[in-house]
Amino acid sequence: MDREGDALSEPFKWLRPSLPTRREACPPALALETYVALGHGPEAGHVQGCDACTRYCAELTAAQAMFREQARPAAFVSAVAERNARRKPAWRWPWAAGVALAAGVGVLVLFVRAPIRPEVRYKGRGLSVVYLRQGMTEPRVVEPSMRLHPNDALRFFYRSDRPGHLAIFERDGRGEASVLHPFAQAQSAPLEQDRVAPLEHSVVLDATPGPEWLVAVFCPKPFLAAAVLAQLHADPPAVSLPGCRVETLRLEKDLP
Amino acid sequence: MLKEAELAEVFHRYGYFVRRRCRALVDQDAEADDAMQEVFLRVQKYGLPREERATLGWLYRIAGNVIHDQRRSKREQPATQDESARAEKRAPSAIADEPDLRAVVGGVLRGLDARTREIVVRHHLEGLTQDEIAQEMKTSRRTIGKRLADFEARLRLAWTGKETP
Repeated sequence: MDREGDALSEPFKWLRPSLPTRREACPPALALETYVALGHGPEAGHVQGCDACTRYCAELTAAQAMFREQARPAAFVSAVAERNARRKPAWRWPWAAGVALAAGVGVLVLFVRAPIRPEVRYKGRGLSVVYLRQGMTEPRVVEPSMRLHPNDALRFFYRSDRPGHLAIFERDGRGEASVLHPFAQAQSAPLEQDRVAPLEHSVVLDATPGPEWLVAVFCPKPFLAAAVLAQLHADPPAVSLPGCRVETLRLEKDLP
Repeated sequence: MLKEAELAEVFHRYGYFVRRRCRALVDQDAEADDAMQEVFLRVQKYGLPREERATLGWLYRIAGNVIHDQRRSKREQPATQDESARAEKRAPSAIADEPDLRAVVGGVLRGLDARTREIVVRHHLEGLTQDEIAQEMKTSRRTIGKRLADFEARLRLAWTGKETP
């Protein structure tokens, strides 16, 4: 194969030019990179006896050391904090609701600054959901099996008497499941103890027929969303994670 | 939410690898730096996996999502002069040198669906075999092979200028 053919077959070869094509006994590059990052791991034995992997790990170690010499963690963390502070919500809900309907998605997740007063709406521990309908001046609490309309905007509150990790899932009328909080992430988000503020995202319902299921899972430690998503296909959804609190809310949708 | 000292520790341990991954997926150093900041912002917000050995892979996933989001937000912006000049300069028969190849690969990746993009990254950047990816993604090796072949075909077409990614 000519030089161009080689480059196109291995388009990231430039990233690790010293590492030859992986042999059967060799760990994948990701495992070697994890090994170098952590400074230990089950790859140690193999690396000691493999010239190619030894060379690759040595190169990574050297490059990491150079990076650390130049990097200033405190300055970087400050820059991250500034970036977070600059972030503003950008949402106009009637417009967004229109987009949700046009797109035909189960819900549209939004960054919103809705006129909701959590100290008034919020009761008890666990999951609470409020909804706001066009024309309403005050949001109302969503009750189990309540009939909602397309375009209704939902906000979530969660309160626990201990810190932990939370994820909220949705299964729409077509049976498709997704992560609403933290939106589209693969892992739960940390939750502070006795948090009463609404969670970051809101959702707008579309006209997909059939019941919507909302499932909140709260665990003492972080967990992968995939573990819950895999359990959402049963009807009704039956989710169970050891040591975790699971709450399920079924919503019906009426056409307005 | 991670405290600043915890985030600094994560940055110390994984910063080099995240920066390297970001740089592999974008054209410019400044873009990579910007993406790295966003990755650590998300890490601060959402925390880390329970398994220490899963952390780097997790950070790589976040980096991929960040870069995809950034590219999507720029999609409607016209190409910069540099990009146009680079596209004109590239002759169909040119040998694949690194900066040009990076630009073309980035364009092709942008045009892939999320699942194919993940397969490409897992195979070409993280060194997993087709069998390993198939096992992880709970699909057949044939599907993985087809998606990788599709990527390579798109890359070749983009490189020879027959298709704009």
